[in-house]
Amino acid sequence: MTSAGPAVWISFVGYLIVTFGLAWAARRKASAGPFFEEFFVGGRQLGPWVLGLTWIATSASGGSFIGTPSLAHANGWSVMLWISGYIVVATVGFGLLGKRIADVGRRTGALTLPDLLRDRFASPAIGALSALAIVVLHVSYMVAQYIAGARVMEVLLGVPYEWGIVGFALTVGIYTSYGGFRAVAWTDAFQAIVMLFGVLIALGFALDKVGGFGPVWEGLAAQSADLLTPEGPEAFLPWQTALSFFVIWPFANAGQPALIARFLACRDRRSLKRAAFLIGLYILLLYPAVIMIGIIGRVLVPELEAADHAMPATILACTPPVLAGLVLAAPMAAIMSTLSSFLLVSSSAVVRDLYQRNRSAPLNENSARALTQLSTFAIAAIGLLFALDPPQFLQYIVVFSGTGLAATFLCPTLLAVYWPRMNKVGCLAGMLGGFCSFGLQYAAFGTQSFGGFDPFVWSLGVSGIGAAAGSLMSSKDPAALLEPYFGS
Amino acid sequence: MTPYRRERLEALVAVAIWVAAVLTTVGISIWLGSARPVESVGGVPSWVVFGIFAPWLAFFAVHVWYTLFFMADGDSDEK
Repeated sequence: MTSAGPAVWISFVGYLIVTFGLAWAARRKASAGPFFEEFFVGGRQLGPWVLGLTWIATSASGGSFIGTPSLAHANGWSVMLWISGYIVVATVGFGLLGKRIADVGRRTGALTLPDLLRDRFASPAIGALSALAIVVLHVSYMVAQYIAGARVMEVLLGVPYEWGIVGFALTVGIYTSYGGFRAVAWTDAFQAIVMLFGVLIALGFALDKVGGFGPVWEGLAAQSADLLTPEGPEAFLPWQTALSFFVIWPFANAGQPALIARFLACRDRRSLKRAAFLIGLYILLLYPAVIMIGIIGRVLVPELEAADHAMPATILACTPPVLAGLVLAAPMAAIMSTLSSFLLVSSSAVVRDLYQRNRSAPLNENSARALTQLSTFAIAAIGLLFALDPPQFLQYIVVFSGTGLAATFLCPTLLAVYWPRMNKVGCLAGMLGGFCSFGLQYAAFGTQSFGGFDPFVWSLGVSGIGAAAGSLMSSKDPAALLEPYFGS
Repeated sequence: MTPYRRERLEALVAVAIWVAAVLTTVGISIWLGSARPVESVGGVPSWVVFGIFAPWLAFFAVHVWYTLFFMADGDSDEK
């Protein structure tokens, strides 16, 4: 595959300038409130546009822009069924947890998910355990994003892989530690706009180049009739897997700590409702287009040098060089926005949940700022070291961190905010049940567990049963502890 | 209705919408997609048009109702 040359460089540098400019503006706009509330939830001042765009930019990672079109290139229209759970991602995410978490966060002052769980159950152990799980799993997910970003830069800009990783770590580390949550949210919003416009422009040019859906049908049918079926080639998507992904997309998104942090940052209920509406519209425009680019790519560029080249190869094949640079900024934006959000959540877990909340003396503002910035850079550097020499088991951790985090946290979090009878024994049982069940099934069966379903589906059940049984077999929490969450 | 009870109702309705979406989307896609040869609607497989695109638009309309009209707003301290 050939690079788009100077146009890509100009677009990329322009993109970086805007990103840093937004981080600078966000820092200047910072509220005068407590440092941690400003740095980790932007002073709870996010309005509907920024909230909606930062939520979707965090949710859509390098996988959405590199992996998904490649799957569509390999498996044709079946990937549209694979992704179809996104139809209700916004409804489930905001209806099931978003509004409730936002309300509870405002009443109790929780800044992070471990914060919320720790206070709800009056248990420092639950706070520390969940913070530790978040750091380990998010850092491994960050490594995968570094690698994806460096690969894109290597292919498109000719930047050596190692320098690409260093560049990603420095860029994201600087603007995240400089501006905190507000900077991440603002840059996410810009990146989400780049992603959507990039994809829609690319789809328009791809359809024009191929001559419409008629020639796409003929091109796919000539290669393999299976590319037109719901199962795809070599039974890529049996009905059990299709059903599993309809569970995974909405519920794994709802249970992601980085997305829960967005709910804690919203200004009020009205902003949250409007953000939910915007995300539904954004998803409707984005995901079918991403998949259609991969499918059209199968006709325009049937042979790829590497499986992950479907999106950039299709864009380079059909988009004028001047626009290619702009369009190719979309996957970079997706990777950067996810990286910065995960970096901030990991940093908040270390500084807020593992250090500050377990310290007897209060932390003054200057120390808090220095410690947070140091921690953010340190986590970015740890990710960089792993990305330069990825451990063999990295891919397993990445898969686990995608859905395993949600399998661990979703049921305990749901029951914590909706069921007064839930207590810390139930919370621990639910977290350990989800974590161990997912890990064991994944190790034993891979992605197809009992009955052909994904381990995530069974793990949610195990986690829910564990949480309920643990709570019912131990004593109730005192009314005073429950009052802020459920009223009198 | 207290905010807690209201939010619990909204959560249950969100789960009901998810159930309806699963049954509609996966059900129609597999039912129409099992026919051979697969039929084309304007160059797109019929199971994609009626099993994915049409439900996606329908559930987006439901999403608009849910987020803009059904979800309650107001102060978080209301009783």
